[in-house]
Amino acid sequence: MRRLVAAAVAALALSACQDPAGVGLGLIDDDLSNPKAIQVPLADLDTLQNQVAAIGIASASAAAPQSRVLVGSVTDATFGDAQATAYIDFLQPTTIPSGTEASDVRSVWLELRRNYVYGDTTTALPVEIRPITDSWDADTDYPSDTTLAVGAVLTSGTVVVSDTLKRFDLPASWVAANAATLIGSDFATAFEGFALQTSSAFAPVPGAVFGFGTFSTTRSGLRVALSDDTLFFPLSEVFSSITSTPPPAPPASVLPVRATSRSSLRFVADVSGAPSTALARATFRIPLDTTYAHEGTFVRPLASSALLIGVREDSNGTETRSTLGALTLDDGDAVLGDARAFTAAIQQVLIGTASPFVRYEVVPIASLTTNAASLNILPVVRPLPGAADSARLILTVVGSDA
Amino acid sequence: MRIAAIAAALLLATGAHAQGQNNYGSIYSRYGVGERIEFGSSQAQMLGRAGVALRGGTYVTLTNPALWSDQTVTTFSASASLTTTRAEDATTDGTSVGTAGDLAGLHLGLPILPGRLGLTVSYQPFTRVNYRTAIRDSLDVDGDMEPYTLNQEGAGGLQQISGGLGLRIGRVVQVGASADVIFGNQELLQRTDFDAATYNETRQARATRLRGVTATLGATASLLDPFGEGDVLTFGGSVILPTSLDASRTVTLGESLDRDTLGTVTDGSVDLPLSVRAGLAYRSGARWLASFEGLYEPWSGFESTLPFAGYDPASSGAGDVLTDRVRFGGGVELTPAGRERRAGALRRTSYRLGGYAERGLSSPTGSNVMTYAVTGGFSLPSRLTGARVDLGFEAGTRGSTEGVLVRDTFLKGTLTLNFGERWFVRRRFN
Repeated sequence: MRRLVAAAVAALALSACQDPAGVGLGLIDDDLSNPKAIQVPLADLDTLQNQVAAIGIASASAAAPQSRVLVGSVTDATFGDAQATAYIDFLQPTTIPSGTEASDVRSVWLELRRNYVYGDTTTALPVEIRPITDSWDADTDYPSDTTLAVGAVLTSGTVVVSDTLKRFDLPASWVAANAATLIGSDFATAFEGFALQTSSAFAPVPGAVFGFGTFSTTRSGLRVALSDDTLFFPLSEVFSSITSTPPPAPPASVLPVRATSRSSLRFVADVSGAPSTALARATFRIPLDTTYAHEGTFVRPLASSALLIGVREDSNGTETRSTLGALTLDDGDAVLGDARAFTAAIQQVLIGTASPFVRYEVVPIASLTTNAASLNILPVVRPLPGAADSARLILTVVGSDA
Repeated sequence: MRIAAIAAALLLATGAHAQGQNNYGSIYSRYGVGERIEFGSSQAQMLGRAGVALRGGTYVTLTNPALWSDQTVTTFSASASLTTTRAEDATTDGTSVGTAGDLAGLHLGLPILPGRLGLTVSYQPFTRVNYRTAIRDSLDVDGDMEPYTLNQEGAGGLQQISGGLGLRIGRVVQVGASADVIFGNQELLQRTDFDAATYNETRQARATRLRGVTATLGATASLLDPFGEGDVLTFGGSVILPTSLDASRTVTLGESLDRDTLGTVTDGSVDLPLSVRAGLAYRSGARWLASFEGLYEPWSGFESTLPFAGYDPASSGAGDVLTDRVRFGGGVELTPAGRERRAGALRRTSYRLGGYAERGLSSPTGSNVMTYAVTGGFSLPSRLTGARVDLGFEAGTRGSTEGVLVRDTFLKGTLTLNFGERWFVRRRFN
């Protein structure tokens, strides 16, 4: 009997193999709920003014990393004029040779790695270096056009697109006056850094805004030459104050969305007509007119990524914002790359366990991992009534209403 | 009765049940509340499912409570089955093969008055839903063709727990009755899986929970020595009374603990039809036994406030495919040694062969879904007094490939452990 029981158990254990196929579909065709794709056209597309920006830290490991600062001035009738001033502070090296005195400081210069340009690439941009006289610290919630108090011009230079590592030598008088501070123990509180701004005499026609890398890996920083050594002061707090004006002549076919220029994209996607059923995927496809990226010598970098934010509103009108994913460029369109979080959110909306989003916002960003000040554009093609390739929400649903 | 043997039997039965949880059987199990399952006894299963008039103390036939009065010793049985179903139709090139393990039946019988009054408690499946079909296709999503697999699956079924008494009146007549609790859950699942990783797998399930109570009445009448000394001719019949089950239905998305309920729970009722069976058995001495049975279940009268596959309460009968279930079956048994206890094992083995023909409870295209099967097996003696190990098989076909119908070719194996031992008997001598 034991052998019989053992044989039966073995037979049962081996019975798990299955080979299901489409046999019998003819008997259940009536019940088959084939998946289908539903397109929801986006409505009320418009730009939205952003009110805040961040003073970041020039370090990838910081809580608010900021990998680029901007300086310059540009006139752009299509996407709007912009002016940028860069504010940078420095970190004293942890080790300064013992016995170093102020008299050992021979010279000081600022080196910045240029890695960005927006505007006319033939521009020779005059840049002035001024000392910051305000006290400032990293802050994640800061008006984007904030300016800091600065002193008189210390030095100046001209930046062109061929510059990769731009050097600004500080005058001997400033070196002599600040040598003790540079090597002193109170550097962090006694020194507030520099502002980089265009000369007030500069008339941008059309001009350009240049960007400089801030991370120490770009070798941007302050160099202090001693008698027998050179100290490197990497950047610490950094901020780009950007002012912009709406474009006087925006193109009729494109929404002039531009990163960190106080504008993002906003729209409505009404899913109330979609069935209350299983959702395999929800994603956006927003056509872009990428011809605006290059117009002769005038360049406008495209935003390679953008955050998708859903906005809910409670009965009191209080808004709640949720980051639902990141849009990336795909064949000239902005599409939702990883749609799992967004799909899960819309699934809850479809089945009525969560309130719908009253609107969505798309905030262009330079990178999904670090913040980098930029004027990158998101040239969103305005939807045309009835056009199949207009900006749309695509729902892939399975089944009908429960 | 050895505790270890009982434990082994329970383990076997439970293992078979667990093994069958995700396995697949016939597409026809999707109709109504599922494919009807019956287990009279391992002996009856091998004799063409004809057991309504089978008397004898070794086996306790669960389909007729009147027979429970034959118990002279405490009996216990556990039965597990394994069924392989190969399905084909005229519209698909390939075949579908499913294997399903199941707990076929459990019983415990106590002779209150040995040979006159017996109590039995039993479990057996009442219906089973275990189908799956899958289709590969592509969907145009915004200009891109996205391949996907759409699976339609059914799982679950109704269970039956019974308890009742059988009473012998005089030498000829037996009567019996049992109370039957019927309960269970039927889940129809649509699972869609896209090849692209950017899509979520969707699972939409319609689960229906059912519960109710019914009763089974049975009777037999036996003629002793009708054709010769030691012969017994028994007529038997039983009826499961029609009943109404309480039902509640939910439609869910997702799986396991992450399920979201769509809409609200829908309550309703499901009326099961009666089940009538009648037959006869003829035992010639201790060596030969023949049994025949007919069964009738008027599923065309099935009613429910909730829609089921093949039945829509809103259609006023139009499109309903449930029909009356009818079966005729029978078989013969030979035990060469008869009652000779000292004969060899092969001569003490019982050899059984039978068959049945059944019209199923659904006719999806208007044509009957017929099942033709051959049954048989062996009942092996054991060193334990009153214990037998039964190995049964059932092979047959169900349906046809006419139109959209499906033809199942199935092979079912059953292992049953039967025990019989005197309990509650005070020993006179130590």
